[in-house]
Amino acid sequence: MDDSKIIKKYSPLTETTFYILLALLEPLHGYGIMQKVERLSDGRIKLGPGTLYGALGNLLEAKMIELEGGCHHNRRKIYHIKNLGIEMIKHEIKRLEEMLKNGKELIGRKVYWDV
Amino acid sequence: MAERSTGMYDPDKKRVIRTFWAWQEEKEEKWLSEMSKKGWHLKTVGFFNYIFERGEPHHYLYRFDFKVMGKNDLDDYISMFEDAGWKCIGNFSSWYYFRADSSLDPDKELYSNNRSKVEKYKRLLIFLLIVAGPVMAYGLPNLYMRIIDRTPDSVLNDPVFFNFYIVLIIVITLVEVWAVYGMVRIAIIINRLKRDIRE
Repeated sequence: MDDSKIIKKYSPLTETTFYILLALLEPLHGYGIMQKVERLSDGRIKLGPGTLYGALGNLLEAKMIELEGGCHHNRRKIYHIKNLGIEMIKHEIKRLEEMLKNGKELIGRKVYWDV
Repeated sequence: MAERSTGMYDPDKKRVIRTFWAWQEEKEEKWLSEMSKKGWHLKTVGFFNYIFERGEPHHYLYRFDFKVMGKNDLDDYISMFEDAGWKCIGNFSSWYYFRADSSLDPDKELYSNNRSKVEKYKRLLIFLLIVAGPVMAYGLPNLYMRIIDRTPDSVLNDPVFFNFYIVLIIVITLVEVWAVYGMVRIAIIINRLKRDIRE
């Protein structure tokens, strides 16, 4: 399957998955991801470890992220985004921008007519 | 669900023979919380038994996760939970027992959305299907057919063997019926969760 097909298959991402991908633009271990997602979303999204572990498994399978290679003396694995993951984020940004643009425009018009 | 305290010499330890069915998970989690409130904290999860240790009464949250996994991934999995404040107490088969301090965050959960909870119960369903499925689809029909289509030289013509055979069939059938019942209950849980997926 080529990349654009995979991206279409996974779009739209859940906000949890979107934020996990975004967090992994820098290499992080599991707990690092939880903290970063919570910070990015101003405390709105508190990822449970079960939810995160499952999501990471799905993203690894989709080849959007990978495990950092090399010898780790640490028992925590380090996750990092791959090119396909970056393309996925870009695709989602475009989709969300379209929603945002239409939303703002139409709600603006409605407010205008209501006044 | 059998529950029995066995005599041990250490008065600060207690063994309870017990097991739970997957669809009664929440009840079991609450029961362990109640034990902790009385000062009995889960120490070890064994084969159909728990060992509790006496301590200060405390309100702990208990949660179970179901995950079939290789040794390679286990360290990463456990540290992810422990970093998030869930101490891993032990496991029974593929059920992992976690405990967290409720005073820090009473709404703490292992799963933060229903979508991922559905995935957990699907793993459980597939596990049951793999364990019980082949016996159900192949083993049992085969056992029944041997009675129905009995040949004159069959060992089943021996009354002792025949009785043994009947007992065997009844036991396996009961286990399979129980497995099917379990799968139905889990499927109901999955359906309930699916109706409330918000993202």
